[in-house]
Amino acid sequence: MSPAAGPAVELADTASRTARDHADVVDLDGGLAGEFATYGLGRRVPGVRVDREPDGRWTVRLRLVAKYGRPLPDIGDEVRARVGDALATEHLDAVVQVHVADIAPREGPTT
Amino acid sequence: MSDTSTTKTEKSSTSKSGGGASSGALAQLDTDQGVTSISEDVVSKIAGIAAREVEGVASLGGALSGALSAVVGRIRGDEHKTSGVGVEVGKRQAAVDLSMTIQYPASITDVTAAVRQNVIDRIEGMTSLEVVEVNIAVSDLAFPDGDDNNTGRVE
Repeated sequence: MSPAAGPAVELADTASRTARDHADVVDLDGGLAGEFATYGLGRRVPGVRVDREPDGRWTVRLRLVAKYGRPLPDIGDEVRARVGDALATEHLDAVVQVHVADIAPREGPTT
Repeated sequence: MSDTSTTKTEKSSTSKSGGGASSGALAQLDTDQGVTSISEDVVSKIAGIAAREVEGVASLGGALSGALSAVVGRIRGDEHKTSGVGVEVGKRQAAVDLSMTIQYPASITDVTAAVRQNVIDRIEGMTSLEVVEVNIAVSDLAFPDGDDNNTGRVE
């Protein structure tokens, strides 16, 4: 909550935390080179991108690593709803786009 | 479901991805509240895990590619990558190509039938894409007694 961090990074923090709280979200995915992130002062939030639209609304894009098992659209819906709610409590009107970038097997290699 | 109809997967022409995403094609699943998109990599990983879940499947990939990818996989540190799995993903449909080695005494027909069923179930269950075909190439047999480097007749 450093005041200089700017709203985008704080928003990304909230979105990242909320998404990770979901039981079927293993991690967020920053892309091949880790380039998919929100950049702030001295730090970045991987796997989340936050953009401000011209009309003042925010667009939050998440790249998830989901757990193998449940239907991915359901997980996506739940994450989208939770992140939207979390941002709404901070009085931010945001469109949340969920992308499942990878999945993680339930436990170690099955071979 | 898995009948090889002529409906090939309609490639998603709208490849406006989730923003700088690495993998090419992705499935878009529209729901009431928005869009969830899924990487092609995810679909092939599901196919790979689903195939390995079936008893009698020794490994995915060809005989050579299995040994090679074991080495490469060890270097890159990814066990569950998608060697031996090819997928084509459209907006609503997916097609899967698998190549695998099968454990020796198992019935190839039974194992491949079970693999096909499980791959279809898992992909349709987890992504709600319709799987139009699952092609399986059995590239080798694996023998229970350890490493199969004694395949020759003479020692």
